[in-house]
Amino acid sequence: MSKTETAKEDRELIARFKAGELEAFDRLVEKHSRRAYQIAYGVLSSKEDAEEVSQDVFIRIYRALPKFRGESEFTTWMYRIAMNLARNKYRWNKSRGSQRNISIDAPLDGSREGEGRTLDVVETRLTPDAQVGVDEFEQRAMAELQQLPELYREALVLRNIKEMSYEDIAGLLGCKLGTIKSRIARAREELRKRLAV
Amino acid sequence: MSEENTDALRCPGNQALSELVDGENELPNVSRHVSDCVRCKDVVGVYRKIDRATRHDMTPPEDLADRIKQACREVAPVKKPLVLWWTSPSLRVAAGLLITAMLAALAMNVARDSKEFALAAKEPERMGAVIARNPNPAPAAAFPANDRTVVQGDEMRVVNAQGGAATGNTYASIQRQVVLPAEVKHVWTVEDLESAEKYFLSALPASSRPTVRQLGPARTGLTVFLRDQQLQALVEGLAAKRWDLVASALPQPRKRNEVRFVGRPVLYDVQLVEKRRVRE
Repeated sequence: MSKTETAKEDRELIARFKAGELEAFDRLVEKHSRRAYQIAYGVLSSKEDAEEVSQDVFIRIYRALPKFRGESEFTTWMYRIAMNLARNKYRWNKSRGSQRNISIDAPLDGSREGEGRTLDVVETRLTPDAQVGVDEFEQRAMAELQQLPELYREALVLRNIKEMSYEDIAGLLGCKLGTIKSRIARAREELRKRLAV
Repeated sequence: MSEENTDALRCPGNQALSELVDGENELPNVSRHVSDCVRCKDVVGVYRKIDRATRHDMTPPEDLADRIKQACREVAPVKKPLVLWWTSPSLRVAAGLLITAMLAALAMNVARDSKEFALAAKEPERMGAVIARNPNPAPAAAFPANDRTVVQGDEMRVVNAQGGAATGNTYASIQRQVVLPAEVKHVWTVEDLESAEKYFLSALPASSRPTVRQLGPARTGLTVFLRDQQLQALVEGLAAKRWDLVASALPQPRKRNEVRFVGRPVLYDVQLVEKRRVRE
């Protein structure tokens, strides 16, 4: 199904939901919950957290949908909610110390000397159970991905989700197209260096 | 040296290679170069390998959609709109008859009450009595609304003018405890926004699912889900930290007895505002 057809079907489902057909909302969940999960998982690297966030995304949508005016596409709206909730959860995890934090002082690329930002890096070692079926390179890649600065990590995570174009990502993160291309390239290059491959 | 191009000066930048991996903005000369250049071919290969690795395990559990649907139904039940049953002619007629009957009963009731109230009002004068006035009336908000809402006995308690429990011969009123609404909005002024935000988050139970949003340089918005008892405890805890609550909606610090706790989930929408910015 093309993006235009998807958007059209979403509009119809929303109209039916507003008219009282609750099953139309079920169809929206079936269509888009996978994407919400992937966004959350990319940001959080935790299945449990990603499930919780994707559930929250749709609870919020369920409540807000009657007032949704359709000025943006449903998917764009949903991605924004998912990204914001995932970011909040990530910060929440850090503030609660639910994961072991390592603070380092490191200037971001492009910043002037003395303007370095402190990066709070969350260590995300996989549990032994989760390691089954995941090869060593994948484990290292996921761990290094989590240690990238947020700007780069988010852009690459979104790019890794099937059918997310550069334009979609730029719209979602509120950046220019060139900025997104640059962030994705920097994220990949940084990972290449860190993984020493 | 082989024919393969390994001259870094002629190689496209990493961004062009990254775009090539994504299949976006593919330039023929970049593709041609990569097919001939060992270094660039290697870089592109690594980028693809990294992509495959970081895409691993992004598949959600099979029952995720079902669980989401269930959670939505439980947390946020939506009433079917009237439109659906209103389309049925027989139901429309039945509803019309019902409404007419209710209006008639209400009109009769009001007329009877008016007559009784008028007689009752004249009764003290007829007996030669003087109607005493309570010199310290309880705040208006402490009384049930002047309507016909049914109030259960266990929702009420006897209070004095200050809202405390009535004792001795003090003037007493009946106060109705209220159930918190599904959404409560509060504004708190704090000394230091950053530490206040951290404290607020650390004071929450794990199930509260907080959302943080920056509303400006000196203002942060947070929304959390809490049970009514948890919210009362939180509000009292924040007041104990000498934060100032700039909102009249319940729950309020030291007014626990005005709330009827039923374990209701409440969406608590908070704004934290830095005091010095307010003063400025």
